[in-house]
Amino acid sequence: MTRAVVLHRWPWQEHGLLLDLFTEGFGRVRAISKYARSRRSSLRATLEPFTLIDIELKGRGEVKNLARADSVQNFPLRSVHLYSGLYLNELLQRLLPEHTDLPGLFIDYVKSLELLSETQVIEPVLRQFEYRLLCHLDLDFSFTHDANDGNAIEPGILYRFVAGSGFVPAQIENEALYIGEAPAETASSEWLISGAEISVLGQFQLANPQVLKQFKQLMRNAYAPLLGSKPLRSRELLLAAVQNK
Amino acid sequence: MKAFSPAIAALIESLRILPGVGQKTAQRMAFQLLERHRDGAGKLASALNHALEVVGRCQRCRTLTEGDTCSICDNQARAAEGTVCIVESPADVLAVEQTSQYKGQYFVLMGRLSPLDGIGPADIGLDLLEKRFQDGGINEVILATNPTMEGDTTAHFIADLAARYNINATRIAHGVPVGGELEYVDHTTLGHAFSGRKSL
Ligand SMILES: [Zn+2]
Repeated sequence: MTRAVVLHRWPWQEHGLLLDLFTEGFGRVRAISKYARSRRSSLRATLEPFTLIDIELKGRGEVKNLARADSVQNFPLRSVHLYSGLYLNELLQRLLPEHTDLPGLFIDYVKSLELLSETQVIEPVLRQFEYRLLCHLDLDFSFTHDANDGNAIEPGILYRFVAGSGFVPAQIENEALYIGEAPAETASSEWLISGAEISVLGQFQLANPQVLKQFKQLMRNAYAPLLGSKPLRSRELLLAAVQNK
Repeated sequence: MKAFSPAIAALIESLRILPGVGQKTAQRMAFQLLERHRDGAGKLASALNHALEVVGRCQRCRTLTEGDTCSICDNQARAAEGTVCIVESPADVLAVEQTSQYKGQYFVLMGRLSPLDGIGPADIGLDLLEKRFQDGGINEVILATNPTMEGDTTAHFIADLAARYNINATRIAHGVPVGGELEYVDHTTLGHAFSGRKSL
């Protein structure tokens, strides 16, 4: 048995479901449940997203067969919490390649769902998950040393963030080292942050609104090249929800 | 090897778009129509053609209908109720109508919000729904979308939209099936049933 959560699912043939599963042991896996949509099946609810399930997969092909699935815990999400859950799923679908086993990420994901279903405040949960995802994808960066030559971050210097590497001193960067960079990265060149602020960000005090705001900016810069020009559709719902309030 | 003449093959292929119809069933249907029910086949063909010509979407509620608006939207007594029931498909309108419990109007989404499939608010006519909210005359929306993650997402999204126009939003209760036994009901369904409980 393996623990898993359904990220998304589509109707398959007349009575089945094709599942995009995030599993603890095998990463993202596609599997088919042949009769999940038949009238007598109780699997339909078990195989809804945001439910921790125990599963057994069979078959050697690219697409597995779901031999059994039992619900372990459901994380009920409402309104913005629901859109936030969708946001996590969309991030994983976009950025996590299939069959890449990252057990730590699975635990972080389930923890995030648990927090979303329990807490009122969603933003710190989302930012924390975004950062953890970067770490698991080996795209994390240092909060204590710059990405140019590994010098210690100095409180009085302004830095800018280069996605995929980290913080670089703003002045040096502007002169010679990065001339002719890809245009995708020029977006992040607008954002400058002092070494002192970087050190604060590195302590992850996301309950502090000021820190949270800057951390969001940081994550936006880090994810921009990963997501490219195709926007996340769940963000559309989150933004509309903020406007509706 | 070609087993069927082109016309028969095309008919079989066309029948396969129907839900639950595979290759075998499509073949059986095609032979039935061509061998034994040629009159019926003719009627089927012209009925299909006629329906395709005259049936479109209701301009107010988006359900399938002939003419600009459907009979439910045209019914003044139902409009006077001031309630709009939101459903995912025209078949759901029929299902609610058969309960004989609802006397208001409908809005048919023809789908559900599903960001992971790229389906956003505009794709399910929420701009049109918002216009109806703006126009006034609605005091309650009943959210009768399916109890799936997408149905829930859609319901919450519309509830937020309704709140902006001071319209009360309610969600139909989901839970234990009539004639069912608690121990056989899955966690999620039982959870829904608990959160939707009401006093007796
Ligand atoms: Zn209508």
